[in-house]
Amino acid sequence: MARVKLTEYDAKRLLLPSLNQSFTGFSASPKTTIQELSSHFPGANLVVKLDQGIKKRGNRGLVRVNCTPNNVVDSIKEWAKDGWTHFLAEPVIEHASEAEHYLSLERMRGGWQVSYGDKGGIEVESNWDSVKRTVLRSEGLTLKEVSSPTDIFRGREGQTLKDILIPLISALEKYHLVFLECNPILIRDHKIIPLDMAAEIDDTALGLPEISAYNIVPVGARHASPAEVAIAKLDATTPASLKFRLINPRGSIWMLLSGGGASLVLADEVADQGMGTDLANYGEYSGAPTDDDVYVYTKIILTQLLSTMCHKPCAIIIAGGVANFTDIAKTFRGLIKALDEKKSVLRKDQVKVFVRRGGPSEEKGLQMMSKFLEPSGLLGSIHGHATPLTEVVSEVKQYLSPARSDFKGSAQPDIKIQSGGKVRP
Amino acid sequence: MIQIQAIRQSVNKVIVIGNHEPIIQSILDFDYSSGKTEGSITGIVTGRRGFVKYFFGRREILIPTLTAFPSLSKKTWFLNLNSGRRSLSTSQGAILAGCLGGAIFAENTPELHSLELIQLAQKHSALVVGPASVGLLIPGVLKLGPIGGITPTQIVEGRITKPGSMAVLSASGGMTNELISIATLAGHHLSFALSFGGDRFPALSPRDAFLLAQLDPETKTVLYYGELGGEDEYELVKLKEEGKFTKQVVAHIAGTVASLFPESPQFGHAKAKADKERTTALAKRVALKTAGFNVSHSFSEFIDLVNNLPSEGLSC
Repeated sequence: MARVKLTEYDAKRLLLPSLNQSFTGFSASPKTTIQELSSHFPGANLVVKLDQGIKKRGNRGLVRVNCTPNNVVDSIKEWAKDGWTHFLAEPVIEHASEAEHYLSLERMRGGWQVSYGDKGGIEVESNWDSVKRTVLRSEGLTLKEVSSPTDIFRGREGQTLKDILIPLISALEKYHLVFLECNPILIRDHKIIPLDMAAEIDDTALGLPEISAYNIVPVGARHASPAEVAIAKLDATTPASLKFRLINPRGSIWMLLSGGGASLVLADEVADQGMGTDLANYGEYSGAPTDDDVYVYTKIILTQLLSTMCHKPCAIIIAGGVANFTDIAKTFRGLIKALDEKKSVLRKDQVKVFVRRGGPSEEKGLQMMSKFLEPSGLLGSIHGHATPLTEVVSEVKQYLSPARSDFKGSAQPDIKIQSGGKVRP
Repeated sequence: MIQIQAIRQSVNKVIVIGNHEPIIQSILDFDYSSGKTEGSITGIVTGRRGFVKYFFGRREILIPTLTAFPSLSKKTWFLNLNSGRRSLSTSQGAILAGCLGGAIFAENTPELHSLELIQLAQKHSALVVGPASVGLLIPGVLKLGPIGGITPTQIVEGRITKPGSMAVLSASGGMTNELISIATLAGHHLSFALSFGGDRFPALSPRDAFLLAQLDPETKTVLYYGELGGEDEYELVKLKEEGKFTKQVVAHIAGTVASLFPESPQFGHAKAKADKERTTALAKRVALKTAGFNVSHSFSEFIDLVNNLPSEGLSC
C-alpha cells in the first residue's frame, strides 16, 4: 500500500540489463561460504556491503572494499552478530574519487524529478547545494524537461546522462519503481556505472502479473519485534489493513486504533499533551476487518503489553473516528474476546480501557463494550461520536497523572441512543 | 470539469461498478431522505445480465445488472467499488463512456495507474475523486460512495441531506466523516464534502478541490484535513499567495507523532510518510500558516476553532 525499499541486489538485477550492463553481484547471507564466493568471482577483488535498505552504510562501517572471499565471509559473520541477515558482494570497480557523481530520480505527480550532482560519493552531503534538479516527462521515445531548463545535460557527460535516462526511466516505469538513488555513480565511455544503488518500489504493483514474475521481496531496514512480525504476517493474510509499530515497550499508553487518519490524530494528541514518552505503540486496523482478525490482532498486542508491564497504571485506548462503513459491533466483538481472556491479569496490572468510536452499529458496539468493561473492573470511559475524538486522550492523562486517586472511571458511559430516523421498516 | 453548483442544478444518475449492498442501499436511502422521487442508481456493472433487489423508501425496486459499462443517454456518474488493481481498467471504460466524473473506492491502486487516470480524467474534463476515497457528497443532491455513513440512522443523524455553507475536504475517509460530524454538531450544514484519498497521487488533488470550493457560491468556509507526506499542501500555499483562493479555511495537518521515531515510519495511508523535512506535518503547518490559512496546533484546537465559527443557526 505504499513505497517500500528494495535490496540493492534486486535493484541492480532489474535495472542494469536496461543500461546494457551485466550484473554479477552475489546475494550473501551468514551461511555463505568462501568456496561459493571463490567460484562465483574467480580471482576478483571484492566489495561487501549490508543490503537491507539502510542509509549511510559507508559512515556506519557497513561497507568494506578490497576484500578476498575470506574477508567477505569474516565481515558478514561480524555484522550478523548484530542481527543483520542480507548482504551483497560485488567486484570492485577501480576509479578516482573525483569521478564519483550523484544521481537520483523520484516519481512526482508531474513527471520524474532528476537530481544530479557533479560531486558525489560521501562528499555529496557537504556539496548538497551544487546538486541540480529538473523534472522530466517521457513523451514517446524522448524526454521533455517540464520545469525550467537547467544545465544538467550540458557537456559530454551531460549528453551521456540524457541518453541513458531514456531507457532508465522506461525501465523504472516497467518495474513500478518510484525512487532510485545512485551514489556514487561513474560516467564512463557513454555508460553510467552505478556503484551503489538504493531503490523503492510501489508495493501495490507487487501483485500485478507482470511484476510478480520477478520475485521481488521488499526489505525491512530495521529489526522488527516479535509482535510486529506476527502482525505483519496477519496483515498479509487478510484484505483488511492491520498495522503495528512498537515505540516504547515500557510505555504506559497502548493504542488499538481504527482508521489511517484517526489513528494518526490520536497518536499526535498523546504527543501534543506531553505524553510522547509514555506512548507504547502506533497501530491501526481498518478496511472492515473480520472479528477474528481483530481478535488475533488484539491478542498479540495484549501479549506484548503484559510481557513488559510492571504493575504500574496503564491505559489502553480503543478509538477511531466516525466510521463510514466499518461495523463497530463486529470489530468490538473481536476486541472484547481478546480482552476477556486476559481480564484478571489486566486488572491486577491497573490497566483501564478508554473507548471512543462512532459509525454503523455504534450503540450496539458501545453497549457491548460497557457490559464487558464495567463488571471486569477495566472501565476507563466509553464515548460515542458526540464526544470529540481526542477527549479520551485527556481522560487518559488524568488517569495516569499522580493525582489519579480521584479517578473513578465513568460508570455512566455517555452512549447516546438514537431512536427513529429509520427510512424503511 | 463540472462545478459543484452545476451538479446541484442537474439530475444526477449513478452507475456502480461492483455490487456492494450496504453502500448502494445507503445511496438510495440518501436519495429518499433528500425527497427525490426516484433513486439515482440506474445500473450496477457486475459482469452478469439480470436484476438485483433494493429498497427505495419502503418500496422494493429492481436495479439492472450489466456486463459492461453502458453507453450513456443521461448525465451520469460512476462509483467504482472494484479492487485496486482493477481501478484503472474499469474507470477507463466509465470515463470514455462520457461520465461527468466518479469516485474510486479501493485502496492499493498502483501509482502508475493513478497517474494514467489523472491524464485521462484531465483529457475528458471528468471530476474523479480517489483512489482510496469514500467519495463525494452534495447534501440533498448526490452521494457518491459510503461518505457520510451507510446506515439510515447515520444518514439522518449525520445531517447530510440538508444543504449549508461548509465544505469538508479530507485526505482520510474516516476523518471525512469525523469532520462532517464536528461541523454538524457545531450547528453547521455542508455545501459539499469529499475525500481525495490517502494515496500519493489523488486524481483530484487538494488544489483542485480548493478551486471547486472557491468557485462554489454556496461554500463560505472550508474544513481541511491533511497528513504528513507529499507536497500537495505547498500547492495550496501557492493558490493563497496568487490570490486564487480567498475563502475562510480551518486546517489540520496530522502526523507530528512521526518525530518520536528515529526515521519517519509509514503510517496508515500510502502517502503518510515524511521522507524529507519539507513534507513533515510541522513544516506543512508552518507553510500553510505563513500563507495566511487558519491552522491548528492540535486536533483539540481544530475542534475549538470550528466550534468558535459563527453558527448558521440551523437546527437538526
